[in-house]
Amino acid sequence: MNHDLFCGEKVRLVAIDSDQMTGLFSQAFRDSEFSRLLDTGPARLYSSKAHRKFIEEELAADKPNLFPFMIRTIQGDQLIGEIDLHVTEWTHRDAFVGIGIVNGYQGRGYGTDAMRLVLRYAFTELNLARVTLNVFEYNPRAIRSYEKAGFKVEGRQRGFINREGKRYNLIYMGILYDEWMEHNNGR
Amino acid sequence: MVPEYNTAALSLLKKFGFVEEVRRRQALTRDGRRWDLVYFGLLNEEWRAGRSA
Repeated sequence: MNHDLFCGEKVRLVAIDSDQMTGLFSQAFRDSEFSRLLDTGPARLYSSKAHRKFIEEELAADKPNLFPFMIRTIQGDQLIGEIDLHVTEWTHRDAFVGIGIVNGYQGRGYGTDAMRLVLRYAFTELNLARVTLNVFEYNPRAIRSYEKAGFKVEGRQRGFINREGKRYNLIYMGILYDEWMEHNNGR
Repeated sequence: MVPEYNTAALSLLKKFGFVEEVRRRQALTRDGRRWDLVYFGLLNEEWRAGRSA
């Protein structure tokens, strides 16, 4: 019971600040690869004003099922990404998690550390029974990170997404409370 | 998406050639126990092959 829930080994989770988040999104979406790894929609360029409007509307909507965090490195205190947990239905104690790490900080363990924090939050603070995520099959770096955090593949929606004339699967991954306990020795 | 306890729906989908693609383990709580949530998909070519068979 003596952990700081929001502080990991490499990163800490902080509240969404609309100015900082606008800067982060404006920077991240300049890179079309970031967009392709994050979501299904076509890569688009938005003005920072449009990003700000989106972020402020999300914050103002007061969504009790949404737990969004910004990710900052502990060393250097750099803002490097966003992670959010969306509880789909409290009655079933399941949630979807989504994460985005900006170019230059990917593949260095920051995302995995942030995911570990969010899983601990999900299982010890929200008392969820499981956590779910989706990942495109062309994102093996993310899949490895999720496996490191303890997720298991639960299936794939075949040919879900079309990129450059080829169809790719949408992979579903999940982790149950017991699996998380075992994976982390309850830490 | 079908809860695993809806066996009638599961067999209907299979009859139409849908393939089980995802099984979100223990995603639902009903009557004091947890149940899987099963996703099905049918590709265009599978549907065509099924019609000509």
